[in-house]
Amino acid sequence: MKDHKEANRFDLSLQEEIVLTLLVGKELYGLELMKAIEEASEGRLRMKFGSLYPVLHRLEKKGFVTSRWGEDKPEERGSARRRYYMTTGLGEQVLREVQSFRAALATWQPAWGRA
Amino acid sequence: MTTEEILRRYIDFMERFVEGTFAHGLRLLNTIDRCLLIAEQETDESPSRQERREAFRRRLEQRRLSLLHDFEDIRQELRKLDQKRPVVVREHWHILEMRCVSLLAHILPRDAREEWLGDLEEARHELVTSHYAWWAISLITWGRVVLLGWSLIKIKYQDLGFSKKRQHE
Repeated sequence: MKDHKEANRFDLSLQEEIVLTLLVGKELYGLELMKAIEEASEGRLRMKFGSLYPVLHRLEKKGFVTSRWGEDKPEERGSARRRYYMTTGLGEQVLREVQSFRAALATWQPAWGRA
Repeated sequence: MTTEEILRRYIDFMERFVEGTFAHGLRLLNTIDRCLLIAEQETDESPSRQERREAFRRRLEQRRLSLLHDFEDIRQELRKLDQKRPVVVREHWHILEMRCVSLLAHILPRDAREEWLGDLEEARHELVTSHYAWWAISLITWGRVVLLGWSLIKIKYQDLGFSKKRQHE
């Protein structure tokens, strides 16, 4: 490993990667994220109330996502605003790096001349 | 149906019942009066009978007023309960759910409170519109409240980790 900070970029958990992938190019709020993960995985994977918010908080702390408050106050939410999350430039870059790293792992071959 | 709704309906019903009984008592007195008017031609109404009739009317009026006063007290208590409730908790919440959510609302940071409890309320609303049984909705909501509490602990732990890491760097 060249650099400790550089190595940390790949330190992305599966849940973090899922959320980051989902947020690329769109703004989603907590409940929408949960539904999207469940629907995209056809019910096989669920991110519940107990894990989604810590993941979002972690991503925000790392600077991979950012958030903004929605302006509407829907009645079905008890007039509470929605908090929309979106990826930052850094988040997208890290995601691309992680994906290319995985692709490199999958295509990696042993060096010539190995016994 | 929540406990509060049942209580409200009960009070409405009892109020109507008391008013109905009072009206019935008055009708009964009018009937007695009419009967007495008919009988007046034969015999005069004795003073003791008049007194008993007045006493009956007074008792009826007092009972009615005391019951209506009691109902008003209960209504005031319900109004106080409505004011104390956090903004995200609606009328259709079960009283135990409300207690859990209120407790959570007190320990959550302000931003998380609006976001998390808003999502919780929206998810609950979806269950209600999907016609789940009330006990299933309550059970699921309690579970989610516990998970949100767990989320808060996780986040506090993460923050501790982040600050230690920053100090280390």
